[in-house]
Order: sequence, then C-alpha cells, then structure tokens
Amino acid sequence: MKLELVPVVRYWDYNSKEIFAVVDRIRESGATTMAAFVPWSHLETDRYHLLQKLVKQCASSGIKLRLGVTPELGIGYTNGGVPDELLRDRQNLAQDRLGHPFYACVPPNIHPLVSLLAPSVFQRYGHFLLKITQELTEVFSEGFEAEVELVVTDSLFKHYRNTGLAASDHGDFSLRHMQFGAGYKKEEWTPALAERIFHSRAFDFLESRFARHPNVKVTSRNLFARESSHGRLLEELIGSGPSHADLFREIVRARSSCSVAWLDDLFQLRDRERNFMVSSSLVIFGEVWMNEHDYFTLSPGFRAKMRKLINGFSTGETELTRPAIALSQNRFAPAQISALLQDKLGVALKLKTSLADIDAVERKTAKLFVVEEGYNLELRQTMELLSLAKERDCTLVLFRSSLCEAGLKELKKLKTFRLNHGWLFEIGIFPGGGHVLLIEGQESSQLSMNTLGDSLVSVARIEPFCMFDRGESGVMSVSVDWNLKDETPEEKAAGDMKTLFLMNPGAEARKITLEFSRLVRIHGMSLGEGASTETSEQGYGKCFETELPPLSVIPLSMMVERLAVVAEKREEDGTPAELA
Amino acid sequence: MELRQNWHKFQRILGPLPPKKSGLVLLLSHNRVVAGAVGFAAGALSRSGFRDLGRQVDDMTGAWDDLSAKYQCAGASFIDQRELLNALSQVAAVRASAPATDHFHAQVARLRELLGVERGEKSRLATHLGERPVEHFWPRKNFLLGLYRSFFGELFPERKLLLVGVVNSPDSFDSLLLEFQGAEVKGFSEPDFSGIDWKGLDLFLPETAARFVAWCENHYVLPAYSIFLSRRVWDEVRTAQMSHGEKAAWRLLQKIRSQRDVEKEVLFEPEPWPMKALLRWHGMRG
Repeated sequence: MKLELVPVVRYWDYNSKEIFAVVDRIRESGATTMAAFVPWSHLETDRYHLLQKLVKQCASSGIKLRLGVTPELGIGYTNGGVPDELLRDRQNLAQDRLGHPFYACVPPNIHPLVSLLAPSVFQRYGHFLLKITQELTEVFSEGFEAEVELVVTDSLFKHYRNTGLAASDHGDFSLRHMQFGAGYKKEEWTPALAERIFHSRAFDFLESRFARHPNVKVTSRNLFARESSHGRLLEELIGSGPSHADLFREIVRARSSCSVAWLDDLFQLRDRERNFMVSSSLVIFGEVWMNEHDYFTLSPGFRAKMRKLINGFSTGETELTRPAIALSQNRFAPAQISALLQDKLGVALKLKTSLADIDAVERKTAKLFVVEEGYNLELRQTMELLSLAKERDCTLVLFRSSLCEAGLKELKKLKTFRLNHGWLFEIGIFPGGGHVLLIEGQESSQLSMNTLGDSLVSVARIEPFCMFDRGESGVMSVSVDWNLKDETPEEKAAGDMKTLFLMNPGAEARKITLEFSRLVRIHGMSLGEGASTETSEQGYGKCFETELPPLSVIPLSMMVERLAVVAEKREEDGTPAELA
Repeated sequence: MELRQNWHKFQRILGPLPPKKSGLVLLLSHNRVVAGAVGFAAGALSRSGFRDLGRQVDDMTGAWDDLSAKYQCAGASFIDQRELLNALSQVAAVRASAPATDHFHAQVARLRELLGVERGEKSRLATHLGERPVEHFWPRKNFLLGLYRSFFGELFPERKLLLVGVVNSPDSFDSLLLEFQGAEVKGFSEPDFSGIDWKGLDLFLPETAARFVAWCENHYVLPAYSIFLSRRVWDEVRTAQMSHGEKAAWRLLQKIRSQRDVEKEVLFEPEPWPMKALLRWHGMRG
C-alpha cells in the first residue's frame, strides 16, 4: 500500500523562473511527487516549452512527475484544455440520450463537453499525443533523467451525465459517436465500450512510444472528480461551495471504481473540514491529488501529520482490505446487487466493467466475485471465472440470466445443491474450497430485490470485519491488513495485525459500538456489551465502545485472533448447513 | 486577457460576500427536485448540505413552508431545469471568434441576471419565494465590481482595465487585473509583474503605481486604472459591505481616502476627473 499526497501544478501559469520556485517549494514541503495536467490546447501552442521546463526542473530536483494526459475538468484551464475550434463544431459535442449537450459548469468557464470519440476530436487528440511524445523525448535526449508517469485517466467519460437523468441513461449518445461505433458489430455499442476504445488507444500509443524509456511509465487510472453538472452550477451560483459531508459520501462511493482522488476545489471549506477531507481521502484512496493552492493552504502542522501517516503506512507490508469485486455493466449505474454490496461493504468493493480489468493480484487475493444480472458472459469468460473458484477458496456469484447455454452446461457438470433463502440459490463447491452461487433471478423469488443483498451476504458468509450502527451519522470504516515480513511463526499464529480507520464526517462527536467478526485485542478501548470480562490495559473481545471526535479520522491498531482451523474434511458437495 | 486566471484568488479577493440570510436554490425537473444547494449567511451555525434530492414538489408554496423550517432559510429560488438548459445554451454559447466562451465570472453574472437575482425582477427561469428582495438570500457582489456602474462610468472608454492591488506588506501584494466592457467585468487575470523591480517600494506613491499601470497598458493595449489598498483597509471595507451594504463600503473607502496627515492606505492611479467624480458619486449616493 502506498499513500501519497500529490500537489498538482498549473505550470502554464508560470514563467521559467516561477516554475523553478514552485518545484523548489514543493520539494521543501516534503513532497516527493507532483502532478500536472497537460492542457491539450496549451501544449499545441506552448511557445515557451513550459512543459519541458517543468520536466527538467523536476529531474534536477529529484521529484517524480505525474502527467495527466487526458482532458480533465477543474484543472483551471479554459474548456478543460480542449481546443476552442473543436467546440465550435456542433457535431463534435457530446449529447445525452435526450439530445441535450453536457455542460461543464466549473471555473474557469462554462462550456459544452466534446465527444472524445467524435472523429475530428479523436484525430486531433492523436496529434496531441504525438506532440507530448515529441516534447518529452526532447527532454530525455538532452540527458535529463526525470521519472515521469503518464497517466491516462477516465477523462470526460465520467462527466457525461446530466442531472435529472436516470443513471442508466448517462453516457455520450451523440450521433457521430454512435457512427464511430457502427463498425463494432461484435459487441453492443455502449458508452462503456466507447470509453474502453478511447482509453486503450491512448494507452497503447503512449506505451509503444515510451517502451524504450525506462524512466517513463504509462499508467491507467480512474480519477474521482467532483460532479460538474447542474448541481455544481447551483453551488457556484449561490456561492455555497461543496458540503464536506456530501463530498465525503461521494468519495466513499467513488472508491469502488476510482483509484485516485482529484480534489480540485477545497478552498471554500473550513480548515478542519478541509483537513478531514484530505486525511480521509488519503486513507480511502491512498493517492490524493490536490491543486497546489489548496496544498499550500494546509498548515505545516497538518502536513507533518500527513507525512507521518504516509511514512507509517507506505510499506510493502500494508494493504487496504478490498476483497470483493463486482462486474458491472455501467459505471454510472451499478445494478442493485452491486449497490447493495457497496452499502454493506463500503470501500471493500471494487467495481469493474470488464473481466480484463481484474488484474493478476486481484485474481489471486479477492474473496468474492459478483457478476451483475444482465451482464452477459461468454463461455470463455464463464470458464475464466469458474477457474478462479476452482483454484482457491473464494466465492463466485452469478445470475442464471448472465450465462450462455454452454456456460450453463459447464455449471451442470459441477455437483450442486439448491438452497432457498427467500431467494433461490444453486450452490456448487469445488474441492479447493471455492464456491459458485447461481442466483435464479427475480422471477423465482417472491421477495423484493432489496432483500437479495442480505440473503447473499448470509449465504456467501460475507461478513464485514467490523460492524457498527451507522445510522445517518455517515461514519465510515476502512481496514488495512499488515503482513509483517519479519514475523516469527509463533507471532503469525497469534493472529493478524490490522489497522482500522474510523472516520466521522459529522460536526458532532459520535459514540459508536464496534462489533468485530473475530476476537481482537486493541489498546486503550472501553469494552462494550458482549466483550470478554478479562480486564487489562488492552481491550480484548468482539465488542467495543468508542467516541469519535467531530471531523476525525482515528486509526485503531489491533491484533485479530485467527479462527481455529476446522480439521474435519468437508464433503465434496457440502451441505446447506455449512453454508447458510 | 491572458490565460493566467486563478479563480480561487479572484474569489478570495473579489468574490461574492455571503448573503444576509441563508437561502435555498432548487432545480426542478417534472416537479421533482434533481439538485439543490444551501447558501449560508455569514454567521450561520449549521452548514449541513442539501438533503432533499428526489423530493416531489407539486405545490411550491407548500414545499417552501416545509423547507424553510427544515433549512432555516429566508427564501428559496426554484429553477426549472428545461429553462436552465436554455439559459445555459445562451450563456455558454460557443462563438466563432476567440475566446469560444465567456469567462466563468461573466457567465455566472449573466445567469444571475437571467434568474432575476440582481434587481429582484421577474424571471421565466426561476420562481422566488420567501423574503424580498431576493438579494437578501443570494450572495452579494463585491462593491468594487460595480465601480463603473453610474452615469460617470460612461465617461470612460468602453473597454478598460482596472488593476486591484491589495498590499499585504511592502514585499507582497495580491494583484488582479480586471477587464471591463462598459460597466461589466468581462475577464480577469493575474498580471506577471516579475519584470518590475517593486519590492521595498512604497506602493501608495503615485509614481510607483504608475509603473504598474504603464505595464498593463503596454501589455494589453487598453487604458488602465489602478486601485491600491492596504489589507487592513480592504478587510474593513468588506466588513462594512457585509454588515451595512454596498453604500457603506463606498463611504468608508471615500472617508479613508480623504484622510490627511495619516499614512496613505488607499490610492487610485491615475485619477482623472471622471474617476474623482465617480468615486464621489458612489460615496454620496443614497
């Protein structure tokens, strides 16, 4: 796990002298990495080669540089960096399902959004990529060895949504865009597919160009960015700025599909609110980008605190616990099953739109894979998922409607049994301990869809590590696993080390009772009902009471006892009692 | 105007002041609230966000009664989404000439005008309920942005620049360069004065200020005026506007300007007679 607080520099606002001063100031503040978005139209007319100067300065100062190479909003550049000429042609503009354009209502100007896959936009973006390659290559050929990461983000695709439309209607449905996709017969043309096409083309291009440069890394990240539609406009009109509690909720929800928090506009928050947003996003996302002005308004004391947090947790021995993955069709509108799991598991759930997005580590470590209803799986994909459950102890949840006929046949080869838990489940168990849960679908149940989440949680035994009554307080928890390398086998046998972060976004202190799924040992906690009667300085039990100060992020380090290993061998086909 | 536009800095120096009383703005689509925001008065204790997304609003007056108690607001503006989209298509219309769209400040000002907020006029776009005038629960424009809004303003060239310098210490001042078209701000930028060796100089001396004005005029080829104020004076006049309104701010500025035998903390440069008349008019009106 790596925590990073990254200042984002608007290098185009500075002259060469100032770039030197800014990079130096950032280095003095203790940051080792900085980021900058490269505005498309600025690069096309960068007479003074400011980008090159920035890269050179970073190389001289030993600062790693991340460059956002896809258009983003809120970066402080007119039209989000998209060239004016492209906006002038109506055919280039993105549209919602009803034919309305999308407006980005963020400073420095309100402007319509272009459709990134409109032919002329896409073509010109290609020129931009060529230009950036050329600019960077020139720097490297002069002997500068800057560590540069080129970040291909989810760009404007996350902003193709108009307030008031159903989430499933979000996305770019402009005519040219649809025409572009007309050649794609194999897969149905969807906004998600469009995003993948744009993204993979930009990514592949950059990777092929920089393959020979060991200091350049091309990465793909989804950025959380504030909503820029009409809701934001109302905030700007009435001058209220963001509500930190709402922003926190958005950030928590976005974690399932984003890996970087881009906090572009915190200046209207009060100091404590801003500090809370920064520290909580850092814990939730691990990587937070914030504009340099907000970064420097953080007090030196708070920055020092964050440095401590970053240094303490940025090791190879820590990992944010995120054991669940849901395959979703539409990033804007995850199906109810994903939404229910998101409520239940919080940031522990990752949303993916394609099976290819699940990386090798996730295939080895995730405990739960859920495929949404209506997400059609080809046989190849079904087999790929089944092999995950076959190889190790994890749970795969599928809807019958997602499987093709051949996939169903494959599943029939497995020994299964049926379980009626309000919802009808067909359960298959592999010798390796993995399970497959096949859900029959809404038509086979008398219960409402809302109950499926609970039903699934109890059947698949998905238990959050720590539970507490959230009510409407908005209190959130995130847990971090420690895998200490120099631990002796005895220490390992004693239990697992974890750090639980509790976050209270409220303006009042909150008393909460924590209920753990296993016995834990924590320092300095008062025991709650149901805890062990043993009295010591360390709390020991399953249930604890604590009070969270307002706007606080509290880390609790604990030792979690291991579950006793069940010696008896399980029957190959299992019994309902073992699972339910 | 050049591209060096720091919106946060603009907001910090010349941004709107909080309203006298808290207010609500709601966006309605097919009688359903699809977005909303709460504008807080300066001393408001609670700052909880809007919580009524998806609420059905068949009767605005009934909804207003309920919401006013819930959010302790003095007024609410209900905006129709379809009308807002029409308004946005005007405000963010893409032009054939550069720049393609206006600057955010001008766009927001235009939208506020369409909403009938500035003068409390009737608007197709919004229905205002609660206290009158609407200005009571909408943020107030900084008084300095209305500098040219008078008969005397017409004596100035149509396009002009105004350099606002808030002096923190002899070595530091926050500067913003505003571009006016008539009485309206059309754009702003942060001028790059790195070529002027001004540190340690008295910024309230006309000859020092004149160097900055000359830089602006040469750089943008537009007539330029400037106002330099100390941070203390700037904070005082803003407080005066917050508590007693725009007129009080102008009066206080005029009073400080006319003080003799004290260290100078306000300077207008150049100060031709129309500028003098303009300032006097602002200080005297009402």
